[in-house]
Amino acid sequence: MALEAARLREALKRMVPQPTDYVSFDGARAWTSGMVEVEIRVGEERLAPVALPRKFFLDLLEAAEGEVRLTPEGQRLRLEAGGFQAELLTAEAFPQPLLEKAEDPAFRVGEGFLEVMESAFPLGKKLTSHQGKVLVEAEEGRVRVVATDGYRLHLHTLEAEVFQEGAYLLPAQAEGALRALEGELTFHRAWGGKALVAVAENGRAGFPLAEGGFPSYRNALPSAPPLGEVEVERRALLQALKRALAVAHPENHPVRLRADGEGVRVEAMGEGFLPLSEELLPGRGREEVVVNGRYLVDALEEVRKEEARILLYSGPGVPLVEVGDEGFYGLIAGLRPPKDAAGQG
Amino acid sequence: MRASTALSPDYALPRTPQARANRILRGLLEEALFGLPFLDSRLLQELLAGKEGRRAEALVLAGLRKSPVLAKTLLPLPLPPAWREAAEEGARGDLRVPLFPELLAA
Repeated sequence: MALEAARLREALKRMVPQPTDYVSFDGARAWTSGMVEVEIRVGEERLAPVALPRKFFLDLLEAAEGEVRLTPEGQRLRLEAGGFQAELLTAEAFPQPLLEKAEDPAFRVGEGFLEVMESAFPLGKKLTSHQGKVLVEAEEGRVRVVATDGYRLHLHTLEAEVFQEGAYLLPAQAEGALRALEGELTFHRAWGGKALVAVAENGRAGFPLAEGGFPSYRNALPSAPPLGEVEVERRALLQALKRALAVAHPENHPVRLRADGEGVRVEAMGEGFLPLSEELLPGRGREEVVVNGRYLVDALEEVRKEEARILLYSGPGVPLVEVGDEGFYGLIAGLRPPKDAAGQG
Repeated sequence: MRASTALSPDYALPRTPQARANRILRGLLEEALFGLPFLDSRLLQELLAGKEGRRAEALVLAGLRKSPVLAKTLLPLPLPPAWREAAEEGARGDLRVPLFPELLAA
């Protein structure tokens, strides 16, 4: 049988390496099994399924262009590409205990979901005790993705077709599995609700759901009216923050935002919250807050609107900083002033 | 030239106290972030041995006191008492206020 070398190569690169780094292959699909299961479609014609060392298979395909011919010969697989020939020893293909047990669909989301997970998982992983978990809530007409590192909260809301409402705790391992897929995803429950299988245009991925809980994030959402607000052009604020971060103290990256009658001031803070730099941007608002500048940049990069509206709320000893638009909500606790900061806090 | 790793026969311990301290802190972070055993390892015992090791330990304690973020990251580990005390002192300098304190409890 013949396959496009580039398509097969791309599929092998997307596979999540398992401890043994073997990939099963039957001509039409390539798949891995282990903590997570990933299957990618690579062709149309089927062979008897075998398992192959993924890295060696990929290395042989690296220089191949156009079509590659694959011929099973007993316990070997012959590979021919152009003038090059090789044989790989094969083993018995791995079963797919999870992917084969997908039940009814739970929800369907567009390709924006995969983009959201690219920022949600890294945020969750910053807190090792939390094991990098991300919460996905499916309710009528939408899906909410919730991630936290203990100090800030990111909520993404996406349109979705929801067949069964529910909350799903995705483990950190799901990140690699989902990264193998493209396009629209339909999530199916599996194993009696203890696992999820995501079905995409190019393949499937399955993973068990994480155990343990997720913080009651709704309790952290401000309920009282805001104390203050800052409105400024988002791109200008991002650029000013990045300049401030170049000089702000490397511990906690403190940056003060201050709205007064002249505009919005972005100040980099040093040790003891001593101001190191100041930049004035066109904008409006009232009140001020000192916040971790990197956290604020991360949140602003998720916002799509041209104008950034930052609301300040009363929090646990420090203001809470809220940033968002229709699809994203970010909440960050401000920094508390150091005890020996002269004239500050 | 063969790669020199902690497991290969030609591996040499870092010589200076600062280099040993850096290696110790790296090992602690690897255990805290990725679960790679270090606190019970023979490598750590060797890094702490002798005059250079004692100086390295002093630098590790100073590093824990100086960096609140490093200290908080390492607090969940089963640290020796003096190291725990230094990490707790360092963590008190953390200016961040948690939204979810229950996630950050050691």
